Amino acid sequence: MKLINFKLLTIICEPVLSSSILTISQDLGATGFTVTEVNGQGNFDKSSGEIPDLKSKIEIVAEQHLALKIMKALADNFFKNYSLITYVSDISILRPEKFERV
Amino acid sequence: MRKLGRFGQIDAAALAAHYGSVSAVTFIAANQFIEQMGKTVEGFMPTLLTLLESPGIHIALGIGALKRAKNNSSISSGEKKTKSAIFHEILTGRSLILLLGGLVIGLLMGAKAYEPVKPFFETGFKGALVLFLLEMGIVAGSRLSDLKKVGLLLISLGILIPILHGTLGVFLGDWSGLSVGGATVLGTMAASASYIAAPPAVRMTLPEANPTYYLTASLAVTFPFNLVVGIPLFFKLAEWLAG
Repeated sequence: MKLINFKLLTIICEPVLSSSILTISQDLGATGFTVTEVNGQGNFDKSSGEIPDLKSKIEIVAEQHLALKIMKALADNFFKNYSLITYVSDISILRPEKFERV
Repeated sequence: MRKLGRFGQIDAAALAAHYGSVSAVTFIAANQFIEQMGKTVEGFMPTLLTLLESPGIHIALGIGALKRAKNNSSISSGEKKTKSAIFHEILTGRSLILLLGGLVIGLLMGAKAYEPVKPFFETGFKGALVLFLLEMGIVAGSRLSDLKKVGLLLISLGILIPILHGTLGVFLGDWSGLSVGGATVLGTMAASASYIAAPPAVRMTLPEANPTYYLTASLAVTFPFNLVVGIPLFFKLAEWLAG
């Protein structure tokens, strides 16, 4: 069994942004996503304006170039006015073809 | 709000969206209060609640979005939402869908089909409402520390606006021929501020507006004020008007 190096793109954002972020990611080529409800505290001076004050954590398995493309789009669109962080970590997967658009 | 509170156009529009809409929980509390006072409320009030939920949000957000587009040419492309996308966001909000869905289901079912499920809803309702109000109390309480950030002026507005809107609502209710219970509930709806439907819509449309202002005013000031002072006050006014 051979492990293939891939990237895990993680985005933690205000829930109100989730659907826009998923649309952008899928338009750019992401084949899937996982969304979980989380809570936490960052240094953004505004609350997310949601009750309860939860955040969405979006995880996307992607190749590096796609992960970077999505991050750039998020930075351009949302960094200025919204509470959002995004980071990439190294992961190993079994079936790379599962994450390629056919 | 702009003149009294010296709020910027965007923050004023965000606050207006919250106060232009209604709080369903306050509405339910008003209905329970009227029931306890031995009065009745017109059966069409939930329909009125549904109708009143979104126009205020639309108008305030429309004003805010227009001002924002005029003042800020550096809005990023992702935030430049088309009008239809904004309408879609507001009209498909969970609370509006639930209210409209409830009305449609009620219409299709009719009173007869409600009978078998009535015990489930009517027996458990008050208990569920108590738990929900406790939960909202905890959420509102967690925002009390924000009162220091928003200042005395916004706290005063959070009390004066419901008194003004509620009084107008009761007068209009009485004038249009509603019962004492109906006029009280209409006044309470006018006095209430949305804190579930409006915040996400405002966050999407006016991201520069500070949520601390509008959430603290609507949830930590106006909501408890209406429950404790507003509803009994509007009831007394409605009784006085009815003679």
